[in-house]
Amino acid sequence: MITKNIDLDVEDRNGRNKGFVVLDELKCRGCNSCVLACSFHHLRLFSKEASSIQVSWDYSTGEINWEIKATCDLCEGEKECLCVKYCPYEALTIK
Amino acid sequence: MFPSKIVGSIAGKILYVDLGTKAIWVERTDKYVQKFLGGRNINSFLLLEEVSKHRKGKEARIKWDDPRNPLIFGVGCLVGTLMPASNRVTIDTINTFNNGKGSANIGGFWGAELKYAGYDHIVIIGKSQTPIYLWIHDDKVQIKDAGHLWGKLTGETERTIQSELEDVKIEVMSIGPAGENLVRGAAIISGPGKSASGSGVGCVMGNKNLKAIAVRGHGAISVANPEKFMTIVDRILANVRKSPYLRNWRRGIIEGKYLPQSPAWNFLASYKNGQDDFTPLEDREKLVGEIKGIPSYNKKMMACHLCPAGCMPILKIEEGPYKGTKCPNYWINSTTYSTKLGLSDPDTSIFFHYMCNQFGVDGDMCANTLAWAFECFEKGLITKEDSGGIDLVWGDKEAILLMQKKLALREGIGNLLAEGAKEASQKLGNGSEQFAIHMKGQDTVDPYRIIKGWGFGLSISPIGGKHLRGAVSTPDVTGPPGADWSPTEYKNVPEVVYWQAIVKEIEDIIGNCIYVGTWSGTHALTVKDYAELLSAGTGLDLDESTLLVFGRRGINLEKAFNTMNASFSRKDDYPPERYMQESVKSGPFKGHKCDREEWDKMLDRYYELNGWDKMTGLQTCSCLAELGMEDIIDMLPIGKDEPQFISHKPKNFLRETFKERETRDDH
Repeated sequence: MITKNIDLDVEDRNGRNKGFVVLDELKCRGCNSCVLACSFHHLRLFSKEASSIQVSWDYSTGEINWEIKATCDLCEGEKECLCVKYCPYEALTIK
Repeated sequence: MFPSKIVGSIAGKILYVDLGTKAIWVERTDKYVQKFLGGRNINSFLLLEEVSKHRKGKEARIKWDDPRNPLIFGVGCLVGTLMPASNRVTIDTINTFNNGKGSANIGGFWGAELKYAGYDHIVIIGKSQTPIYLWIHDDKVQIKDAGHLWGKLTGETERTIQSELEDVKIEVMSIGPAGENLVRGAAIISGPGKSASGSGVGCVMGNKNLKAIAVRGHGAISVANPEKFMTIVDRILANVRKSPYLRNWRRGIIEGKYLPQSPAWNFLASYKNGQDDFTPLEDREKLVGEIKGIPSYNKKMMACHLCPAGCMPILKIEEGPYKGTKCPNYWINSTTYSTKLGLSDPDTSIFFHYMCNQFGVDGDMCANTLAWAFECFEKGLITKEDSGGIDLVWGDKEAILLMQKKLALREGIGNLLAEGAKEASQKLGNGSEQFAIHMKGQDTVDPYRIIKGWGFGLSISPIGGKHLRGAVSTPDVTGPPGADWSPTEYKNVPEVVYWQAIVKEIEDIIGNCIYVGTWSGTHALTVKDYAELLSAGTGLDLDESTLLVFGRRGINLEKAFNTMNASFSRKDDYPPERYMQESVKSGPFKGHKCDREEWDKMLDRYYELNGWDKMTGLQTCSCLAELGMEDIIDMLPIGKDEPQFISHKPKNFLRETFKERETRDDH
C-alpha cells in the first residue's frame, strides 16, 4: 500500500497523541467526499473552504493532490472520523 | 445581493448576464422553488418565460441563433451537500437542430463550485460582439476578453484561464473550435472530459461569442435538517455499496458489460449507421479485449464530485501516432461511436472520443453524421472528390479522424456535415435522406429496434433521440421496481418509460447522476429516498406523490416548449424510418424492428398516461390545470374549451400498474 505521509499529529485535550489521517492514493478517486464531510464536522455546513482537507486532481492524468490542515481535530465530539466514514473508496484510515 | 442561504440547500440566487448590454444582475431563486423546486425544472420554466416574452402572437417562433435565445445553466438543488453523486448541471436553450427544447446534462465539479459561489442558475442572454468569457468569483462577476482563447481546444482553454487567474481550483466550462464554428452539435466541456452533449448547447454558446464560464466559490451550502439529512445519506451509501451494478461501474471497462462476450453487445450497439444492431465478435475482441483492447489502456479510476460509483477511467495510449495521450474515457461512449462507424481499433476509438471533447462536439452527433457520410460514400452518393480525396471506408482509422476534424472546423465537406445528418442529407439530396438517422431533426446514435423501452424512450424524448428522458434497458437495471416488462417486448413499455422520464426529471431537479440513481439496479436510490432527502435538504414538505407531480411539471414544461416553438406533435414521436423499415440482420435478435402499429398503441397509452390528446399528442388544458400550470395555457395553440379532455389519475396509475415496492432488506 502506498500512503501519503501527512505531517500532522493530533493531540487530545490531555496532550496525548491521537494519530493522523492517512490517504491511500491508489484508492482515492478525487471525489471530495472527505472534504465536505470534514466541513460538516466543523460547521454543520458543506464548504470546501471550511474543511481541513483539500483535494484536487489533474483532469488528464488523475494525479491527486490531497492535503490536510492543522485544523483537523480527528472529529472530536463525533462518533467517528467523518472523512474516513464518508470516503466511498475506503481510501482514508487513522494511524 | 441576497443572502446566500434562503431555503436549505438552495443557494438562493439566479445570475443574469446580458452579453449585448454587458448588464449583470441577480434575482431570487425562491420565487420559483415552490412550484418547480430547482435544476432542470426551473431551467425549463425560465426558458419558456424568456422566449415567450419575445414572441409576437401565438404563431411566432424564436430561432436558436436569435441573440435573445437564452442559454441557461441550472445546478441541482442538492448539489453542494454531501448527497452522493450530486454534481449534475443541466443546460437549457433553444435546440439548434429543431428550435424546440434544447437540453444537455453534465457532471464533474463545476456545478458544486457554482453553488459555493452562491448561485443556482445562470441565465445568459444577448450576444457579445467580440469573444469573451465570464469569470464568477463569489459575488464578483466579470466579463473578460477571450480573444486570446478563441480557436483553442477545450483542455488548453481551461488551463489558460486557470493560469491567468492564478488559481488551479477554478472550474471551467468551455467550448472548443466546434462551438466557435457553430457546428450544430457542438457541446460544452468541463474538467475531466465531461461533456454537455446534445441540442447544440455549445453552438448557442459559440453564437453568443461566449468562450467559457470560469467559477470559484468560497461559500457554504446548508441543509434544513442536518442530522436527518445525514441519516438518509448514511442509508443511501449503505445501499450503494450493495448494488451489484455500482460495483461494475466502479470497475469501469475492466469488469463492465462491454467485454467482448458481454450480452449488452447484442442489443446496445448500433453497427455501421444502423445497418445492423449486432457487432461481429472479432470487432468486439479488438475493441475491448482484455489483453489488447481498451481495458488494457486503463491506468486509474476517478470520480466526479461526491460520486461513490467512480466510473471514470483514465486511459493512456502508450504506442503509435497518438502515443502519450492521457484522458478520461467513457467506455460505453467510445464503443458506441466506434461500432456506428465500423471501427475496431482501440487507439482510434479512444482518440476519437478524446478529440470530440477537445473540439467540443457531441460524440453522438459527430459519429452519427460521419456514419451517414460513410454510408453515402458506400452507396456512391458522396464521391472521393466531395470528401477531399479521402476514402470513406467503414472502420478506416485515418478517414474517421480526418473527417472528425473537418466537421469540427467546417473544412471542405465538413461544412456540410457540421449541420448534422438530417440537414446535410437534405442539402445533398439524391436519396441520401434515407440514411440520415435522426429524431426530431437531431442526430441519434443509439439502437432502437431490440430493446423496446430504449427505442420508445428515445422516440418520445422531447430533446430528440437522447436516452436520458425515459429510455429503459433491462428491468434489473432501469425502470420502476417490481414492474412487469421484458426488454424485447412491447408490454407495459409506455408505463415504464412514463415512470422513468418523470424520475429522471426528479434526478435533474436534485442534480444526482442516474448511475447512482435509477440506472443503478433500482435499489440504491428510490423516489421515496429523493423525497426524504429533498425535505431534509430544502426544508420543503415533500412526499413521494408530491415529488412525482414536480416531475410531471417538468415533462409538461418541455412538451409545452416544443409545441410553442417547434410545433412538434404525434408525428414527431416515431422512431427513424430506417428502424421501422429494416430489421436487425444478424445476431441473436435478428428480425427485430420497430413495429409501427405497436408504436401507435404505445403512443396512445403514453399520451393517455400524461393526460395528453391521443390524436395529436398535444397537451390538454385539463392536464395543465391539474398540475397548476394554467399560466402556460395561453402560450400554446390549444383552446381553453378544446373538446378532447382525457380523464387522468396518475396516482392510481402507479398503484395499479406496479406492485408496491418490496421492503428493502435493510429497512
